Amino acid sequence: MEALAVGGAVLAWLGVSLLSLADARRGLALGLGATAVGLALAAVASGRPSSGAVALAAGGVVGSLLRLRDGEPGWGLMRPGSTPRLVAAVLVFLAAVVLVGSSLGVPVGVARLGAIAVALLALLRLMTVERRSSALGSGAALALGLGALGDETGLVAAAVAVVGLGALSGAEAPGPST
Amino acid sequence: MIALRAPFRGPLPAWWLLLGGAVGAAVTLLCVLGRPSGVLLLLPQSRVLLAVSALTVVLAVWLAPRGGRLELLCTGLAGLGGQAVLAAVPDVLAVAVLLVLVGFAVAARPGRRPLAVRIRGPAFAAALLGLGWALIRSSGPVWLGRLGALGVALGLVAACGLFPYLQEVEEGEPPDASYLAWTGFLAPALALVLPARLLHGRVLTADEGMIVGAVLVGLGVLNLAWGAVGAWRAASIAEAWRGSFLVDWGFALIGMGLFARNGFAAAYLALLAIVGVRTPLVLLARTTPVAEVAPGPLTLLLVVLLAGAAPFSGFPVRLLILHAATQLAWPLAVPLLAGMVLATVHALRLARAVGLPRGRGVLVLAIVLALSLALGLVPGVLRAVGGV
Amino acid sequence: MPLAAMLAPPAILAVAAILSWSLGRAGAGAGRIVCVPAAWLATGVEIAGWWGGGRVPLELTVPIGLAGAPLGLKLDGSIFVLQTITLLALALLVTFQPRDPGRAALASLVGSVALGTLAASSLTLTAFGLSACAGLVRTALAWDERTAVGAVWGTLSLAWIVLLWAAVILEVIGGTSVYSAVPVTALQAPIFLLLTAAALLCAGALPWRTWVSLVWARERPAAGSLAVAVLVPLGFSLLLRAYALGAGQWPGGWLHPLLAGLGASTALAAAGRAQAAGSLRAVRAEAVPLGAGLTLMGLALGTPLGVAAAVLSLGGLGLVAGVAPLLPEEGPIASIGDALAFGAPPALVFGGWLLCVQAALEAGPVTGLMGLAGVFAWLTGLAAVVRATWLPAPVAARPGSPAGFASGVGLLLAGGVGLGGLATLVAVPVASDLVPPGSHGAAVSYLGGGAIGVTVPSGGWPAGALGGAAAIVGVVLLAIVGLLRRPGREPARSPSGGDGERAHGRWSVPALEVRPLIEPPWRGLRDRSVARLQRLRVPSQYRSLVRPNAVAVAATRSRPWFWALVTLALALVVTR
Repeated sequence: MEALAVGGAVLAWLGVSLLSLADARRGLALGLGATAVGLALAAVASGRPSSGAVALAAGGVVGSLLRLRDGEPGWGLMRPGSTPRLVAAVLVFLAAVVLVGSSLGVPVGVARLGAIAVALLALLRLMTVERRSSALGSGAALALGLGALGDETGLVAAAVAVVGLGALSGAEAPGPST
Repeated sequence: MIALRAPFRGPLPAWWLLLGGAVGAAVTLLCVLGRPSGVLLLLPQSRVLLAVSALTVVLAVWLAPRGGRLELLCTGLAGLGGQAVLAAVPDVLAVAVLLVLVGFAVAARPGRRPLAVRIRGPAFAAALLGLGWALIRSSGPVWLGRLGALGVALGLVAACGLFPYLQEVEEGEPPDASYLAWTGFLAPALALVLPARLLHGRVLTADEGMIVGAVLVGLGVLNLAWGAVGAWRAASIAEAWRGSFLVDWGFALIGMGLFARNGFAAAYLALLAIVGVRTPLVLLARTTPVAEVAPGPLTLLLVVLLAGAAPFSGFPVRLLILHAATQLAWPLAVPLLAGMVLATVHALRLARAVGLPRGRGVLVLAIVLALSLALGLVPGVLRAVGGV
Repeated sequence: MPLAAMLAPPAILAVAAILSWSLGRAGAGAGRIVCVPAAWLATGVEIAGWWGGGRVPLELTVPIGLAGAPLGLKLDGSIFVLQTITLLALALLVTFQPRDPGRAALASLVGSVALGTLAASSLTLTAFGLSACAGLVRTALAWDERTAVGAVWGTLSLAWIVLLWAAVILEVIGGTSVYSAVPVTALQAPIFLLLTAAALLCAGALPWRTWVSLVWARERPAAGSLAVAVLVPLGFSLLLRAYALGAGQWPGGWLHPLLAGLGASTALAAAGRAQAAGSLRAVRAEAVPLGAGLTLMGLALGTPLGVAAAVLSLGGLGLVAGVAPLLPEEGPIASIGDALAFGAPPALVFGGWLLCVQAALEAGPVTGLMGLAGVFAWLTGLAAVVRATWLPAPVAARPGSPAGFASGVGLLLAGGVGLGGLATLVAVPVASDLVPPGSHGAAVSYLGGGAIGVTVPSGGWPAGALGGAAAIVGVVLLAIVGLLRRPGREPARSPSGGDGERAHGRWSVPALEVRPLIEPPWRGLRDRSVARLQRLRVPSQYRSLVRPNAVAVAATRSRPWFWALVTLALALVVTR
């Protein structure tokens, strides 16, 4: 179980890092999907109800597929100016380790580490992004991270939120009003 | 059907807006009924706030030009649904998640600022609230719990769009895309239930409770001061209106942070006044032309209302908050009194912004004045209905 | 019957307000026809109800709350006096000042709320009433013009907020703010000082120029005079209530000379401003503050005679508030009216002020000096009235109301001549109720009155006849001066101007240059202080450190780095 939790947390962290480094639809979708699956695995490993974890994973996958509809085509990875985001991904992980502290030795603590890292990195991305599709992707990741900190209600709410955000169009609106 | 359709004559809004309105209405109904039980629980004070919010939506639709009423109705119903779900979900973490969804739904509305900018406030609030709650519930060192308590308090302040998490105010931005959507409509629902959720089940330790209270009181005083001075000195009328909201929110935050019965009552009445009185006045100000002639007595009475004087809604709020503050820590009453005096200065400016309403605007103004009178004269009735 | 005296007058005024407003909206300009008889009817019901009911105090508690405070009304001798004073002034103003139906309705409503506030049974409810009254007064003022609205509104807002805090503290310490239920020990000095501050702000009884004087600068006098007539008695009612709360004494012997001194200072300052004023309106503006100062001096003495004298003086003050706006601004009537308003015999104002001075002299050596200061202020005020006959009349002099003048002066003179009766029937019972004579030594008769005279331990005097001869001579002289004074003449002219006019065949009388009798040393102090404050700047070498605008911009422009910084700072504070 601990291995599953660690694997899920690492997958989630990698997914959200990919999301924060991507500027186009494929990168966002893959990052979001990986984040959702990783958090779901970690949730199962930490003893949360599997129905909630399944809902989280399903919602995340659906949301990531919906992200493929619009936004800039391609992957958009590691574009010029993305180095600070790479550094931030590492620093956020370390910050999450500090916050989780001594409970890292148990699956619950590891799952929490993954969720906190996802939430913090998604928030950081959301505070700096200007593009609509990237904002929607980061928002969905934030919802996943926060939901994964809770019990079944939180997990289901996160799934609903991710699907709901996926339904919103990521295309930039013309003119000053978007 | 034709008669019902008549006030809404005009092009149908987009299908997703119609869907949003229908979903919002359905969610509101479910929350009021408490179905499914255990998942949704609407407290009595939230029901009263929901009723007042529904009235505000009706007034907003009434004020809108004929071609845009259906769109505004759908937006209003969706907003009501968002308010209801934020108030009815008992799990704070789930509320934080839903805050992200509701935040994006609001940010997606057409406005002058891009979505990516408008979502920052609600997202920051959701993160603070969610992470803070998680830290409180986790077992760990004492400082972690304190950090969590800070996060929860700051999350509430950020969700309301208050200082130091103020949103940018753009002149001419539609109300449903501006700070008004949160500060004047959605956030009061969250603010009304969050203290109850925190105190229920003894979730907070004494230390953590003190931090939540101190942060709310401290930021309440700051918002009171910032709002009173800002509303008076702001260059634009939109900033002045936002400042006036900060004054009311300042009282509400202080009332919540004192964790006293009178304080909660003051916060409850202040939040009702924000949604039912101040928000419709802002909407009215947007629709009436600025008066060139001397205002009439009805508009002059607005000055008294906006200054928080009797017999309007501001007086019981001030009475109760002073009572709570004096009972617990009398020095707190000094900045409160200063804020109350300063808050009278900007009232004339805002009353002039409302101008001379015509036609439908007169009815809206009369309803707002009546509601404010009811809040001011018989707050005990509303407190009894709300169980506060 | 006392119940009728308590409930009927405000109800009559409120109904009249609704009717007048409705008639105005319907296009029938009959507002005054409704409001004028209503005001006089309310006055009659008040007096008849109180006297017919045997002058028995009454307290009525209703089991519902109002604005979060328990709803109750109380009627006793002091409240009856204050309500009657308010009603008389209101009736005079509504009758003789032109008002359209809307404004007449608002005036009636203000009167109704003021009566209700006076009768409030708790300090919280009084604060509510004062706030409501202030709001309505502000509306009435702003409806006409913007002059002095800000000053009035700011002062009254401060007054009701301070009073609200006093009420809250009383509830926290004493468990209640109901006047009849507050423990005597609950009224401590800090609460009393808050209450006093509210009272003095409301009544304008302060040494500097307050809103009571400023409203006289308005072109349309109706709303300003209404404010003075209603709010000055309301302010003094709080000080009377303080005696009731403290069972006949204030919570600290030092408060009496302090406030008595403040009263004397107020009177002196008002007189100083009056004698230096540049227009008749500015002189007249100081009549009420001068009277308020002397009334405060008497009230603050803490003796039964002082309180009785203050009650009588308050009666004169209320009538002056109702009569002074009705006076014309030129002619002998103006001079006579001004003289009576500034304490010329044999009016009620004169009698009340003389008793206040007498009470101050009897109360002790220190207060005796204050009494003498009050006399000096009084005489200076009268001198200002004489000087005012030489001041140029305004370009658009108000004609006033001869009928109003006659009615008001008639009431003043009746009160003056019948001072003994008023003292016996009204002032003494009120004073004995608030400050029991036994609490100040042997229960000797401190004030007696016959048909035309008053008697105090230090001596009696016939109210009507005292100074009557001098008054008659003075009136004749003023009338002569008023007739000789030509309207619109410049106070000082160069000789060449006069020669030029003689050259054109027009005869000009040399005009007196009207300077102040005493040049106030504080003249221009406020403007100089404000100018000095405005010149204050952060030294240039430190300006880069102090940039509040940058903080404001960062705070209001949705800057995430600012949010993160604040959050981090708070996190560091909290976790240490």
